[in-house]
Amino acid sequence: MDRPDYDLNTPEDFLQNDRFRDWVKYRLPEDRVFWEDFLNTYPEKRPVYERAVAMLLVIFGNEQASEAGEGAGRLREMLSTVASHTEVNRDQPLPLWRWLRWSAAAVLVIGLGFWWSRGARQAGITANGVVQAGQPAQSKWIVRENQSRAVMLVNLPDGSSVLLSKGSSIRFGKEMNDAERDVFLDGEGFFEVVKNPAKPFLVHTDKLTTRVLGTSFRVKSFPGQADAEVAVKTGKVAVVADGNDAAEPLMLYPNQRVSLIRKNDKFISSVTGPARNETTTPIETESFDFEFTPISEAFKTLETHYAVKIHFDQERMNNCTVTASLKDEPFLEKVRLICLATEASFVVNGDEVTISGAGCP
Amino acid sequence: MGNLERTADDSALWLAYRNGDNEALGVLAERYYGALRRYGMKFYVDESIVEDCIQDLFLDLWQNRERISQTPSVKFYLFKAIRHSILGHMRYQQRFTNEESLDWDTSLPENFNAESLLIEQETLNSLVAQMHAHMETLPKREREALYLRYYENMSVADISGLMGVNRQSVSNFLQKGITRIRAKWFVTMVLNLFFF
Repeated sequence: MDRPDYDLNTPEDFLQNDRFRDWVKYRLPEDRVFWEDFLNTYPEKRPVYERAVAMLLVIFGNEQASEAGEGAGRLREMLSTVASHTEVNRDQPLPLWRWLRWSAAAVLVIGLGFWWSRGARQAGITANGVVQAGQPAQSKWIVRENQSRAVMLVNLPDGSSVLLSKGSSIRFGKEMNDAERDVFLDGEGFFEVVKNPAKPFLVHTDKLTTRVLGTSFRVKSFPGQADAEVAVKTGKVAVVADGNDAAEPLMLYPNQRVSLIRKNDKFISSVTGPARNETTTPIETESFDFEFTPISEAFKTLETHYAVKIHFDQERMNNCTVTASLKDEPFLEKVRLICLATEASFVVNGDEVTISGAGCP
Repeated sequence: MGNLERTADDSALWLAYRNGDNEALGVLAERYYGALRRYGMKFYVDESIVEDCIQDLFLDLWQNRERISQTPSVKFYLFKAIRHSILGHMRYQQRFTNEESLDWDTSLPENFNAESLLIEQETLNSLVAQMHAHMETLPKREREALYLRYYENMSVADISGLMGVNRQSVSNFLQKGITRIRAKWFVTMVLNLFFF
């Protein structure tokens, strides 16, 4: 491993190389000297080096290690406390700190819920303020309404998609470039949200607010009806009942559902296991798992679920297949990834998508 | 043991812990805390839950020290245990039905310091975005195998034991994952040659 430079020719070679992986992971100064030298000696290998670095970074993903050090220290202390404890009294099962920790966590969750619902309300106020200050309302908001169709696809400016049910409408910012992505829903919509941890995505309705970072879920809250519902397909979401600042957000995980009855504005029956019921829409149970699936079949699946028309050259793309797991990708992302895999491009016009590609060998 | 502990290797610490040295277990906890936490959170499990699982794991280890045997790889043992307990938690939450239902987080840090990797920022950003799109099309278990192999430096044998699939499947996962990213990379490169 001392002279990896002889045999580093493909991205795989780099990935297999311990020294390279350690460099990307830890970036130690002594390694920097080595790789600087490497790149100077073999400038032709730079493109491969850059690809390999990008591949590794993507495989590594988000570090999320900010507080790890603290937690490790705490655990170590805990172990020594427990150890000295067990010497004296071996059958004390649950040390006090474990209870304390849980109550601390509960307080934190309640606090966050309060902060979330406040944030949402403030966003609403600011928006109204802007409108009242004399700017034409159309300049900031887009409103889409589905009056007659079974479902209607709405692509949001951030790339997320919404399937709007009949009799529902949605309002969202033209740019969606605020600190939060706020959308206001009257009725029912199935959301597939582009992941962006830096910009939470909030769905406001008259009865509840749903907050996520990137996931897919359905919200139902028709004005004038007593009940509201949120059902999660992938990822996790936090739900807060409106008009109740002290409410704790309820965390929902895939295949969970919560119903809210307006009477006393409290979560009723909270989480019910597998979320299938009469209100479940077809897209919530579709996995969008394609394994060597003919492209015409994949497009058919998209057309069925998103109520769109996809135009493509049947004959030319006859040999193209799709292998991908697109469960929680928004509509546009699904189309983009399928096109990427088949070296095709696409144009969206309303609810029609036109694919153009050279076809597959 | 004092300073000796910090540099002692895993199996020496494991032996010392099994003989009742709680500091040895503490050193192992400190050594693997970050890695276990990072791994656990990739399953889209709450930070606080992952931390609880890790704490419970080490406390259980301590309580059961007389019944725990020597292991060829402490790291493998700990990863296997944490995976098991996180899956148990997800089953309890009704989020887990089978391996296929398991999620794997591929989100990226907000920004990369490209200069520290000797690359121009714009170049790196666009490469990472491309690779990320390719990565997102991979099945979740392939993503996990890639992570364990290339981030955690685990052997194919350990990964197969950890994920409960046979070695050949792991090799296939890795092979397929890399070639899929690479095949697309090749296409992009060829296109770049033609158009830029």
